[in-house]
Formats: sequence, structure tokens, C-alpha cells
Amino acid sequence: MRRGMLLALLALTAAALTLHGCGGGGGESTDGVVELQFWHAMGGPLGDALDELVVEFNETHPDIEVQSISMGRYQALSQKIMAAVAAGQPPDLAQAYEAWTENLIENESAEPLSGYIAGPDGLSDEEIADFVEGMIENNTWNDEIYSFPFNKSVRALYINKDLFAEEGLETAPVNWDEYRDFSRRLTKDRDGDGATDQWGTAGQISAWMFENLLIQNGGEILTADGTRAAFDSSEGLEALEFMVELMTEYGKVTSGYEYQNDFQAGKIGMIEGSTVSLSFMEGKYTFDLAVAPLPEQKQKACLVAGTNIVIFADSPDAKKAAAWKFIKWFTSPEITARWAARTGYAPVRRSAMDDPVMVQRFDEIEGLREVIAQLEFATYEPRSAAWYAGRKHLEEIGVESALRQQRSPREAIASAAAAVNAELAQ
Amino acid sequence: MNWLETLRRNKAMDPITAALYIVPAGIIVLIFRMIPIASAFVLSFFDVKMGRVRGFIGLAHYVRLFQDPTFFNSLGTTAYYVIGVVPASLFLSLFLAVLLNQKIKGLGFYRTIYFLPVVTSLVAISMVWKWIFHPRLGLLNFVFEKLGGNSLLWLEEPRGIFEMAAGGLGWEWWPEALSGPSLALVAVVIVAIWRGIGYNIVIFLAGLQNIPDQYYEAARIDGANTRGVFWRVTWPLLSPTTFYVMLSTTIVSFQVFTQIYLMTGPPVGGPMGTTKVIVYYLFEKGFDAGGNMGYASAVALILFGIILTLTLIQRRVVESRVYY
Repeated sequence: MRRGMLLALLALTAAALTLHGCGGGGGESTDGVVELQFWHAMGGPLGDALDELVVEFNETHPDIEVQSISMGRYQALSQKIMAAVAAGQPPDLAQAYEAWTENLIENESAEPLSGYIAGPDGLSDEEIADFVEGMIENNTWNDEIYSFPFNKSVRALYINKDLFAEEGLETAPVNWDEYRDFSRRLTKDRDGDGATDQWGTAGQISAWMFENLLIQNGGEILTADGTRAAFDSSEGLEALEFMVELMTEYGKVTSGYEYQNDFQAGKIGMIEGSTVSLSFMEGKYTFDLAVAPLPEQKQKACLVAGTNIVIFADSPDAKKAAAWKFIKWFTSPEITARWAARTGYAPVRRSAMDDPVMVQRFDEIEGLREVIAQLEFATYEPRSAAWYAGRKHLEEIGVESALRQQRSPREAIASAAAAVNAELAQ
Repeated sequence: MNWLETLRRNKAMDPITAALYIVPAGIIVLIFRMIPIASAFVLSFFDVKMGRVRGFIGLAHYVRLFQDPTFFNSLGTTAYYVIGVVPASLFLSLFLAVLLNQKIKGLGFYRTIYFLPVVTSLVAISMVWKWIFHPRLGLLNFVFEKLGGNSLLWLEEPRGIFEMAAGGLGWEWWPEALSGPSLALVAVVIVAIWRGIGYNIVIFLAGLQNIPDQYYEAARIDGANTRGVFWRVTWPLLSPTTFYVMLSTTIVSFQVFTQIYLMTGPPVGGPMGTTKVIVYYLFEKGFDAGGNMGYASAVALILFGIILTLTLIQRRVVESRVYY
């Protein structure tokens, strides 16, 4: 009896180890299908949209099996990638911010892509030129392309047209003065109990809004060589002062994405958000909604957010070739159009804008075409790993303390700049 | 097998037997505790990125550490947290343990109730409390408003509690250095106390039940009242337990991470970094933005040094008052 138990246990252990071997190794499969592990951070409606496209890819490419593995959020994804690379067991493909890619390149873990682009299954010069302005350049380090634009978003104003109409407002604000003025008019005490219950705008504590305002006002985030903060300028101060005035007098600051819920509930006139917020709000509001480009000040400006996709250098050649096929497929005009129409991300190809799916989407959402058109003058955040850490200081020390009115905008900017400079100096 | 028998009879096998008993646990401790501690010590002197060692840099991490204001802020935050949790947890759990040591109806029920938080997942606890503290939808503000009080921002309030109290008294000015821990941190402290007392109560109960009845009888015959019995009999004889509870609660409090990670922010450690404790600072440095494991190891060693020193001081100062 006891011996029987022991044998059973041993058999189970052996089985478990074998199974683990298969899972961990990630598929030297017997029937010639190349299995790829693709790590990403897409969840909710974005995850569903991505999974559907992955299934479609697998069906149309019977020799490749992409396994879509969601890590839930970017911070977790970053930690898993770092740990997996350190342990020598990276996935084959992953979403990555530029700062992560820079770390991967330094570690020789990111696969250069020029060879694949020039190869037999590559992309022609016309096709490369079809990518949206800046998107290839921002994935290039020392003349080598290491990543491809994957899920890129721009920011937009979400407008509650019903509340706008009540105030006789027919258009979205086009500059800061209108932004402030409209917000003031939309801030009201509807039920007359003496407390404000409708706000002109709302948002969460985030560096995005400040960075966009800064650039609209002609400022820069970092100096040209990327070694020092440049946002502690008069342009930056004006931007932060405007933001504080707007968000605390005619708006409200909420924790996380609550401002989005308040907007959906019809309590906010307009909010700034990513184009992706569309897919989270879909069907959750009853008013007439429009989107609009961000208001401008001295110039139009819009920062592009979102990640790229990288191939890991340690994967076997067959897998890397298959991974490239997936990237090429996913960034093709037709697929990027469908991905964009479904999720709210920006299409990464110019020709995708005329794709019937995208055109239909533009017709559905008022103003979306103009919002996506912001890509024409879009800029990018500094992409160094040091900025990834420095950005946190801007957000926590600069934007947060000013919005919570714990520091004056001047003090907030100065202390954030000092912290960022210390981070960049290392 | 005769020689084995002989050996066993002569007790020559005893050390070997003992060693064999220790081996399984020993291997686990060695692999999951000792080796990581040793490697953290070594790594703190090296430039390590993404698991790749890129050269010896001596004390550079430590130099940088002592120049980083965020590090000192997180140390201060941790100190507030420990001071907030340890005495309150000690007092409450001792008080409840003494009550639960009586012969009252439904004793098992009460003991279970107080122990429940200990066996509940910290993740679940954090999520539920995060809702309780929610400024608009939370239970706590709902109760406050029903009672006619003002609702508070709780986990989103960066202002120090002393500063808030001074403001409540109508004082315009309050020195910034004395503003105290943020209300957000206090909220986390409340959860930590609530979660931790169950375990401490069990330890205290065991200690209370170890005190022989004769002492109580003798005290009562001598005419001591309840208070006298507690201070003259229970308190001194319970002191080894109290000392242990104090030590372990202090050590665990210094290492707080999960509640901070789950309850605060976004960004974690907020509002305005007032809940960024030392272990979260370590985590951020080690796993975010490129993962500087060497730097994180240096932070871990400093934390280790602090806990060790405090434990030694506690032993020196407090243990002399312990009756074994």
C-alpha cells in the first residue's frame, strides 16, 4: 500500500515536471507550429480586442501560434519582463515603452529589426513611409530600429454636448482662454443647495495634461541633450498655473479614473483623456458626445502615449522570424485600422485613415477625425530610462503638490525640476 | 544492521539524527533566506541592471542613498507607521486578550471574530478598506456625515494630522516639521492595527494562560483588587510575552508593503509620497524603471541594519524589565 502511494507520488511528480518543462520552454512543438509567447498589459475591452486579433492571426497563419498573455497593467508587465530577462527566460514578443526598450538594448536583449524589414518578408520603403510621422523614428536608436509602434494614443477633449448646448456653446474650446471660459460657465450649482454639483472639467493627477500644456505654451520637457529639466521655465510656470486654476476653480481632481465616471454620469462639461478612454466609456453615457483636439496656446501640441512591440534577441531564429510576421501583420493598414476603430488607439499607418472601417468610425464619433489628425504635429516624451523615473517626480512633486494646493506652482515646479535633475545626473 | 544498533545504543548517532532532522528546514532557510541575504549584501556593492552584474562600484549606492531626500522621507514615513502601529496594537491586543481570558459566554465566537482578519487575505482586506475609506462612496464618511461630522479625504489626504487638528482648532499657522503623518498614512495604520491584533491576542492569551492560578489566589487572599492583581501579577508575569509581541510587531511593521501597495495611490505611495514606506521605496528602485537591484539591495541592507539595531536596543532597554 505504502509503496503504491510512493510510486503514485513519484509518477505525479514526474508528470508535473514534464508538463512544466513544456510550459516553460514555450513550445518545441512536434507538428511544426511555432509557438510565440506575447506578453502585454492590455486588459478589459482592449484585452478582448487584442485577443480577437491574435486568434485571427493564428487562424490565418497555421504555422504560427501566438499565445497572448496579459500581465494586467504596465507596471506588472515591466517587472515581469525585467525579471524574465534577468532569469534568462524572456518571452518572444512584448509590449514595451521606449525607456524599457532602451534598457533591453543596453542589455543586448532586444532584437534589431532592420534585417527583417530589408528581408524577403520585409517592408518596402513606401510601406515604411506610410507609417505615421515620427513613429518609426521614435523606435530607432543609433540608426537601428528595435521596436514597432503597437498601441499609440493621443489625447482628446471629451465633450458633453448637452451641457454645452445648455450654455449656448456650440464648439469645443480652441485655446486656453476658451478652455477656462467654457469651464467657468459649465461649473454650476444645479440643485441650488449652495454646493457646486456640475463642473466644467475634471481629471486625475497625471503628468500628461501638464506636459501637453507646457508644449502648447512653447516650453520643453527636457533640454535638447536630455540632461536637465527644461520645464522649470516661464512657459512651464504659466502652464502649471493655468492647470491649477482650471482644475481647482472650474474643475475637480479625482482619484484614478473616477473623473471618467463623473463625466459619464453627466456631471462634467468636458474632460481631457486618451483616445482609448472611448472604449471604456462606450455605451455608458446617455448624452450627446463629441471629441475634439486639445486646445492650443502658442502652438498646437499633442504628445503621443502608448507602447511599442519588441522581439527578444534570445529567442531561436524561427521564433524571431515568426514574431516579425506578427508585427508586420498587426501594423498592416487593414489590421491597424481595425485595431484603432475598435479600441480608440491611433492607427499607425497613414493609409489606414482611409480604410472603410476607420472611415465608419470617424462617422460614428463626432470629431474623432480631427483628434486623430493631431498626429500630424504630434511629439513624443523624452524616451530615456532616466526620464521614466524622472517623470514620476514631475507627477508626484510638481503636478500633485500644485493640484492639491500644498505648494504654489512656482515652488512645485522648482522642486520637481531639482528632483528630475538629480535623477538625470545619475 | 548490527553496527547501527550498537551505534544507536551508544548514542553515537544522536548528533547525526539531530542533524538529519534539521536538514529539510535548514535547506529551505538556506535557499530562501540565507543565500538571498548574502547575495543582497554582495550585490549592494555592484552595478546590477536587469540581473546582469556590470562591475564593482564600492560604496557608490550607499553614497547616492544618503543624498536622496526621498530615501529619508520614506524612512520618516516608516517611523511614523511603526510608532503608530506598535503601541496601539500592543495595548489593544493586551486589553482584548485580558477580556477574552475571562469565563464569558460565547468565548469561542469572540476569539474567532478577532482572529478572522489574520487568516483573511491581505489583498482582500486592503481592497475592502480602500472602499471603506473612499471619500465619496465609503462607509466611513457615510457614518461621519450621518453623525453630523465632516467627511474626510482619508487615503487621498496628504496633510499631516497634527496640521489638520491645528486647522480644526482655528489656528492659521502650524510648523511644517510638526505636521505629523498624513491622514492617508493614518488610514493605513488603522488597517494594520485592525489586521494585526488578532494574532497578538492569541500570543497574549497563551501567555495569560501560562500564569499559574496560585499567584492570583495568593494575591486575592492578600486582599488585592482587580487592578492590583493586573499590575502586580499579570503584567510582570506576562512581560516575556509582551516583550516578544513588541519585538515581532516592530519588525513586521518596519517591513510593511502589501497594504501600501494596494491601498494607496495611484501613484502608489501617494498622496504626495506621504505613504511611501521604505520597503516600497526599495521595490520601486529594484523593479521599476530598469530595475537597479544593486541600489535596492543597499536599501535592504540599511533597513536590515536599522531593524537589527532597534531590536538590540529593545533587548537592552526593555529586556531588563522582563521577568522570566
